[in-house]
Amino acid sequence: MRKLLLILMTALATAANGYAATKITAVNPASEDGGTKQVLTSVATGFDYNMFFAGTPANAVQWFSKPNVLTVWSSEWPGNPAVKSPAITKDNTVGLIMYETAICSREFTDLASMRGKTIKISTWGHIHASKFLKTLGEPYNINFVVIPYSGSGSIARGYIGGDANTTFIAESKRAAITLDGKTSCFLSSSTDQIAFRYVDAIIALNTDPQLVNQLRASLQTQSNSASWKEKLQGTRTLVGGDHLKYFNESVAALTELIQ
Amino acid sequence: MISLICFSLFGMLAGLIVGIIPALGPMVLITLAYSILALSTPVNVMAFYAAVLIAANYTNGVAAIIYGIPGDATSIPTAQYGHRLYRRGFGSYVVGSNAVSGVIGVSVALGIFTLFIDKIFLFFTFYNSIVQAVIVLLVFIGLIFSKKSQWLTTILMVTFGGILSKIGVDKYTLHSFMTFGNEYLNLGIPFMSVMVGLYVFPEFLKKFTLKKSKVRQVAHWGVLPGTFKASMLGSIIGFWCGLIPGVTNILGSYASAVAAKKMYHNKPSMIVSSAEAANNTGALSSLLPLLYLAIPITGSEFLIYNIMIDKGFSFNQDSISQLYPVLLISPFIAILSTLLSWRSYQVITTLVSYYVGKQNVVNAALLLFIVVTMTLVSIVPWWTLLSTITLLIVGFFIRRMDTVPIIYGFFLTHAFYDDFIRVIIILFN
Repeated sequence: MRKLLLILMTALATAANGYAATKITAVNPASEDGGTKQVLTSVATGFDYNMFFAGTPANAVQWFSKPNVLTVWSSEWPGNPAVKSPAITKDNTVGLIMYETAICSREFTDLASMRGKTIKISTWGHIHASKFLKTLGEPYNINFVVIPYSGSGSIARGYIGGDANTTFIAESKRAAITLDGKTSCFLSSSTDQIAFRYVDAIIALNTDPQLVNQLRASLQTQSNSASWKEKLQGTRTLVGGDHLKYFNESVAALTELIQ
Repeated sequence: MISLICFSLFGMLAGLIVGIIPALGPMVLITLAYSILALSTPVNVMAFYAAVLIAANYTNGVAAIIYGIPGDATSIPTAQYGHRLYRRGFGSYVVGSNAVSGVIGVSVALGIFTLFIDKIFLFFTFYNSIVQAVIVLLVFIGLIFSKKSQWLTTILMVTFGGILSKIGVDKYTLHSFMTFGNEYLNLGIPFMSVMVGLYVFPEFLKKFTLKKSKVRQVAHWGVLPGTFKASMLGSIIGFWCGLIPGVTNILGSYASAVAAKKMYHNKPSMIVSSAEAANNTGALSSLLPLLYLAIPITGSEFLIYNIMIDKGFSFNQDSISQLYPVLLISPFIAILSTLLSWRSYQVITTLVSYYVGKQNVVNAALLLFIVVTMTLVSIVPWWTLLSTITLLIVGFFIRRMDTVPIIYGFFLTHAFYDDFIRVIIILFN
């Protein structure tokens, strides 16, 4: 009986050790009610994990020394000197989520019809979007005046409310803004008509390749599900580190815009 | 249908409990219930959530009336004016009116949903930055001139609240404001710390005296006369304010309180009725952007959105019809919540009668309970605790002042600042 107990205890201790070794620290560098949390939760499903809310990328960094960290890093951040970005490599990349964007209007149907005009456009308040629009408008002598918002949801509400007749917005909000029956989206990054997209890299830090592969398998399963497609509509999910060039291209494009 | 009723009742009970405990709210509740809700159908999830929103407002109001402590920012007018009536011995009437106003608020919201179900998209076409900025500006003006002799102090307090709200790193621009390189300041000042330190604590320190004879008068149901009109006023204001992201029914309850104060010559009964009706209407109208545009505008809505999407629900005009049963059951939940909140009022007032003469001890225990609860449910507990202690010290030094403007300054500054910038661009560019 004693032997049996010893064997049982040893087995339990071994199992517990193995369990502890693969405990994941999921770090959310964005707002708690944002999509990043959902992405992390979905990918970590089936693993033993603790979710830490950092709120901002600058705060998230303090958790990055822990073992088996799973986090999401946006291509907006490496170009920002205030944020210490982690190394994002082919080996530690679980996958990428590409947030496509579109230009939509209830007044215009293409850039040519905006030629020589001052166009009020509702879009993100950060410098990337305004710089991109300035570059986009230059060949047509279009003066885009940005009406700034904090996120896609508020851009959509502002556009529907009539703050502007033209919007530069995430593809995911296309359905909401075209409900009026007058709006058409004539340029989209999903068809490479414009080269502006955010790319989120899902990365694993301080971990072994086996866990990275397991997380990739989890992402593969999740990204094929209907709910993932619904929640992340207007995005593309690429599993593994082979597509890292898209992240690097987005970083380069966004960094160039703010320089 | 049976499971829908069960989820509604479950949501109602959970909402009643959450409403009575300061520092908790729908966001915490939905987080706790997430895994259970994830097992159910989208219609049941929405039934649960609607019941939580409806029920939480009732007991939130009861706690505010009895203790003078707002469970959250939506019940500040009720705590201010309802508690005043309670101390005068009209507790049963103000709770009764509060409940009736809540039912009116829910009925108005559901009535508008039903009447305009095919045209609700038009509401959003009206709701632009200019309209939002004007509404928030009117509330600020109402706030500043509600006490004409202290307008300068009020402006300073609103500004102080606004500065507190801006501390931290902006989530979108990543620009930091008054963080001095401190990683905790980057997270910003938690709202509950501001509420407890700068409103609840100073209110406690004002040492209100409860008279036992007055507390004994609270046994029978009653409604304060003439409050129907105030409730209707609040319902209309609350419905529109509920659509403003970030401030929703917080703005609605205050804006309607300001309007009722002006229209009904500062009568507390009218102010409470108007605010409570607005609170309930706004809680439901804030669901519209989620249901019609698939755009959640509060933290708890985001969680509900995710659960429902996970269950295969699509938020659009075609699929809204699936949620009609929730619309049908909501009035019953409102009436049942009324009865249960009345019962909870009686239980609490019985408890209150035992502590007459010991209110300082009980108040201290309540304050401690609130601080412990909010620290435990916080994502960054030590930061929440440190912020609260710091603001309790500040609260001590301003204990003789009316600190409500700080709370509204904290809440409304973001919404107003963003809208104001947009209005300037829209009108002058």
